[in-house]
Amino acid sequence: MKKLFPLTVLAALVLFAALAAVPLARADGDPASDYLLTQSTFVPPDLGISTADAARLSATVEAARSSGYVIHVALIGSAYDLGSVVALNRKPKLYARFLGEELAFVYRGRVLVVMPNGLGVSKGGKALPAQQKLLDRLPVPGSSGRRLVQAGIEGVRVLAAAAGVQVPPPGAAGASGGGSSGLVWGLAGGAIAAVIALAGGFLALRRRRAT
Amino acid sequence: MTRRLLIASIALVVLAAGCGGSSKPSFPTVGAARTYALTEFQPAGPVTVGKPTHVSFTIMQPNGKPLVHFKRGPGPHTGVHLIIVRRDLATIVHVHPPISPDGTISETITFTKPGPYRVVVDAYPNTTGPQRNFQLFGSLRVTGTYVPEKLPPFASTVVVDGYRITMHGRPSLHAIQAGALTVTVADPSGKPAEFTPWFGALAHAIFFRAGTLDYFHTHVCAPGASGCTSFLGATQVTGSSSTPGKLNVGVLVPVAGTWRLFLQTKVNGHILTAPFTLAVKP
Repeated sequence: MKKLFPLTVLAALVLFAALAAVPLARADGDPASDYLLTQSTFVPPDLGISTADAARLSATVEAARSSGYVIHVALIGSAYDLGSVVALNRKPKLYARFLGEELAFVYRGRVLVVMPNGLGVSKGGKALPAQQKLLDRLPVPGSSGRRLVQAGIEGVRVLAAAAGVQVPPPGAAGASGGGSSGLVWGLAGGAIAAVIALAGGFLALRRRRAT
Repeated sequence: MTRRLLIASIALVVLAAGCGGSSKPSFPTVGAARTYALTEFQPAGPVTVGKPTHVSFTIMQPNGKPLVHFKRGPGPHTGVHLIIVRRDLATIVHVHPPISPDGTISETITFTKPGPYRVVVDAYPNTTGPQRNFQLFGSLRVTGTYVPEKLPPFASTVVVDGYRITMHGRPSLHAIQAGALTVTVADPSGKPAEFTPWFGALAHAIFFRAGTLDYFHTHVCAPGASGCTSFLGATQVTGSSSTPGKLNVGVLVPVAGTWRLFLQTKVNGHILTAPFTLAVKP
């Protein structure tokens, strides 16, 4: 019972924090900061982005996450999408830091911001200069919603690749379905490896007995 | 077994909460590339100083229909915040006007100083998608000779209607770095003021940047106030107050420059507006 007590308290604390924090947590002003508290992508409604394109971005983020690379992505097409922080319009690097700072009490991971004139990345509200250089080499996204989505996908893939995580383009084999297909391939690979190892062990045992 | 069950429960709760980016993808239904817009804004022409003026407008939705459904509830993230500030930041009006069933938003306002004003409509539509809050902007002109007032330097104490509002310590603020300001309010007899919730918060901290009029708005909440702020975010980008007469104001300023903070609170039926000039470094 003594050992159980701290876990009970921990469980209660986690439950309280989860219930209290997530549904109510909101920063003031910019919609992305509200949305990214509980979602991995922010796709504003005014860009005319199709559900399919939004799904491609989400699938890429999910595929990266399932491989261990967690990142949240915000697409910002115009000042309108920034709510009360219009001062950061067309400043993706600064807005990535600002957004990261806003989210920091709930999420301290990487944040990728895509604006028509470029991309920005931060972690816990801090700039990531090395990763930023990689993003700066990408083509300027442009203002159409579809191009912002594509830039977001490329941004995630480039950043993940720099961290040693290969994220296939959405729609490629193994990409759709994100984590579940990755899990299937991982299990399949593990099963094959186990069979090979068992077979090898069996053969080695037979040889030893034969000699 | 019980131990395992507990650990599993913890894991389940953490997963259910969606922390750490483990949430499932969610795809908003999107339409054409159109946005909300301010329409039928009145007064269309110049306003007379000192005369009650009927200010009204409608928010047009992306689908071309007036917005009639807004967030409701006890907190400040509801309805429409109408903020009208003179271009030199010398004076501000902040009201939460009533909204008629047809979406017309109206309020009677008396402007006390002539000059050009920026109108900020901070709206909270009752939607479930990503568009939870947005701002629309306009302008109006109050007739008379406009002589821009130079912003005063930072002063730690502001006296309004006999109430002393004091900011403790000279703030050292940097752009995109969360900070906190400690403010105390004393009534005319020197006692700590008792705050009364006003528009869903104990205090409203409205920030405008000099020159560009960049704007943002945070709230100071009573402990456990429903719908006012977050459990976690309260310590960072919003604020809190658990001691009579004391406000902790969270600040996260997007860009460097000179900012004017209008700190508004309600004490003994008085709406106090205390302006502070803040220098924000890069």
